[in-house]
Amino acid sequence: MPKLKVILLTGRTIDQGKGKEYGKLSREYWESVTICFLDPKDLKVLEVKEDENIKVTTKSGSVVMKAVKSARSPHPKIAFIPYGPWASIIMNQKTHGTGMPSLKGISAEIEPAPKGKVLSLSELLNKHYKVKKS
Amino acid sequence: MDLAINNGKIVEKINENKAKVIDASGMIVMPGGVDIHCHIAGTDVNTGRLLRPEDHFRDVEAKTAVTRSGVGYSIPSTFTTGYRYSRMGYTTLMNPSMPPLEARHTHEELEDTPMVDKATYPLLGDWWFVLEHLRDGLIEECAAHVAWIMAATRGYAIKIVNPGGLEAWGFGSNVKSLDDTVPHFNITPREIIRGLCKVNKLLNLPHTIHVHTNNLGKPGNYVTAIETMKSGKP
Amino acid sequence: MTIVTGVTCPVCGTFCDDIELVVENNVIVDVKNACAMGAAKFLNYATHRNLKPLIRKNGELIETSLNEAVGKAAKILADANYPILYGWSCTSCEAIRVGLELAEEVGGVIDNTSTVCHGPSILSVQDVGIVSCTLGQIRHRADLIFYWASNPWSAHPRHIERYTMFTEGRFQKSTWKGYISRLGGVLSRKRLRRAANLVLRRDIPATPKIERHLPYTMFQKKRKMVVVDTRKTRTAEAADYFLQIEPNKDYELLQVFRMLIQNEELNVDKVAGVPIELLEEVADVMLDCKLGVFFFGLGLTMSEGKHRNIDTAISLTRDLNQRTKFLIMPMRGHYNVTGVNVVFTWQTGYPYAVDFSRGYPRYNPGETSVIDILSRGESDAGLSIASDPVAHFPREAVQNLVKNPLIAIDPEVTPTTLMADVVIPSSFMGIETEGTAYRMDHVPLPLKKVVEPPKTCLSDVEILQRILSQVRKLRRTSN
Repeated sequence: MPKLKVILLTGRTIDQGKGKEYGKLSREYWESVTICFLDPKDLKVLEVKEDENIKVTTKSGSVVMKAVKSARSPHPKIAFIPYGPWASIIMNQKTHGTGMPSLKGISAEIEPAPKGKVLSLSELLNKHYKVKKS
Repeated sequence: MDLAINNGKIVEKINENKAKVIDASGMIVMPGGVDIHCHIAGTDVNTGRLLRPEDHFRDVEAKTAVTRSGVGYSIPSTFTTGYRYSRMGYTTLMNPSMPPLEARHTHEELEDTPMVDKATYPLLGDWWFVLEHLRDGLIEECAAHVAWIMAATRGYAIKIVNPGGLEAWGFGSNVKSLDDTVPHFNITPREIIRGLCKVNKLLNLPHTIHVHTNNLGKPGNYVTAIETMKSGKP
Repeated sequence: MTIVTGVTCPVCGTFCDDIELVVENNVIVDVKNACAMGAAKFLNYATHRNLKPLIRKNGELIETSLNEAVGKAAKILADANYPILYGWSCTSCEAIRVGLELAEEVGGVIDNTSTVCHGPSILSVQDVGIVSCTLGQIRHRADLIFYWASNPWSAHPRHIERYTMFTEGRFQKSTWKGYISRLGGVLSRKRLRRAANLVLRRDIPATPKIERHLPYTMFQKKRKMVVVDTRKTRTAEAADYFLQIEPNKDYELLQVFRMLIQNEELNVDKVAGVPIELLEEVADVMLDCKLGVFFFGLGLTMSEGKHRNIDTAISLTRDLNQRTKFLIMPMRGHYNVTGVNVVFTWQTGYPYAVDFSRGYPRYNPGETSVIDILSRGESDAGLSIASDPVAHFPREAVQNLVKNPLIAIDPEVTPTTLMADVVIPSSFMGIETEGTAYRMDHVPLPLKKVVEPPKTCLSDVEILQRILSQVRKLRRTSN
């Protein structure tokens, strides 16, 4: 399977901004933060079409997201993911003594995930954070 | 020695039969200090607190059962300001510089300065409405506006800092003398000071105009100081 | 039906205070003047909210009384050795003041969202100072606007129309008309290309945007906008100059500008992916302006270099002030995050990451900041208020947060409230409760109460006061 090394940026989009005001359990929020924007040429290299699933992996973890063709190209080998619980799975918590974790400019690897599933919010919380407490 | 107090003021004598008596024998009774010019609250002061945090490390006040914690040097946090002034015997503090747009900030900090009485002076020497009214010779309209500002910002007196110069600083320049023209406003610092002096008289405010002269910090500015004091003469 | 005018929007740091709301039967039915995010908030805030306090029993969150929830929250905080109290950016200054008192009482660490946002900007200001202003000065005077690593179109939608390019000022005009005609040109070129592609059935590459080939002095003096970003955002499309920079290279580019404005020559073709000729032209534009401003965003604070990037940006601003007038301002995101920094500083001397465990405030980001405390697994309880750390902290930090007792005070259902042990629903500040908050340029504005909150949702101030008073009772009985 083709793989692509990219620099990962996380940030705001207007849809994520609206989605969080609709509520973090809303469909609009889920659709706005489970996507990864890629340059159309990078999509070709990965042999992935828009709306198909991809797996994004960094040193901190990996997550399945939906690939979206970026309207902001050209930006080869740069991937953009909106802030949210899915992006947080793969972010680096190291702050290098500054207090601020590295949330932009992270090295990542992307591959197609035809059998992967984009988790719902409760599935994601259960998988990564479920803790038995009284 | 006995003290007679009537309606919050110390007077020669009162009717002792109708007075409340406080026995202060064995205690020290002293007048509370009044600091008419201490920068203790507001956006400028808070920026000072933010810079050089390492300064705070060497001067800390721990929380007690009756006091909040805080830091000193170079600019103390608000609770520490109130406690330390009180320990020195001050009962009234006047914060001399409040940008009218950020008056709310000054008052929030004053609210968190415990124990002492406080007031603050809005900065009006470069306020566009004041400059335009004075340029056009409209003293009464200017006074009406200043009265509104005093009420809206809960201010106590008119503060003027580097009149005309703060406006010129908007584009990076300054004024060098009382008779320089302020760019874009066709008015001089002398006219601003005299105009606000007249406004102060009209409004009968409890304090004179409080002026920080032009040429702040420049060697030889005693000349400007003397000229500024003369400029207020009728 | 009532119309409420002069409402301040409680979403981002732009703080538009011209919002009009139409209220019918205690429901907001229409919004005027707000951007997409503001409208989404005013019309949808009540959709996914908590109405009752919740407590986790046998792994499940069940409804409980406010007294029980407050009691449990107070016990968690009073019993903890090193609790963290985090968030604060979406609530009022009045609530933050109670929060600081609570953190001091329990000897915990109180931190706010700047720690994962503009914390590095604050670190730089503490190192080199800052030359800034209020937004009105920009609106009236600025003729050169930089958006560096910032995309207002997505994050501060009305910033450009209220404070920079598309607003009328005393000394500067709006460039709205010029933008519309340029946009028309761009759109018709796009349409023609698409039509040509369909006819010829192959990809016709876009013709590169016609670069300025006339000397800049030929253009009329109007406001100019420069955008520096890694992708051509919508903000960049509206700009006069767009510098597409490689990720993690902001430090180099800022230092190069410092050299160019001192007339130093460079022996390279490109810096950070941008051709040197374009950089030289933009440097000339910087020196030629009457008043310029750098608005910068999280691209500088979050990428490699972190606070050193902003250090350099502020130094560049300082250097430019030797030749012209230049200012710099961080684009703050959560509406009251500036207020949190301001309140923290006046009460403790420090803007975030404040540790009260020794009875007096201590500050050392990297050590007393929440992400580091969680990474080291040192905290043993947490309170999250007006924020959503489970959604936005890196995964390992979240794992350490949720394995300890967690209290969440929030009006809405969020990933944090779903993982908490005690959930106390609050009212929405700026819609159901009034309070004070600070705009990104630290101007304080009052937020209005427009509708009544549900009876079960108290304000953050009241909830915190109840927890504080209960903590004090517990401490007295244990002493």
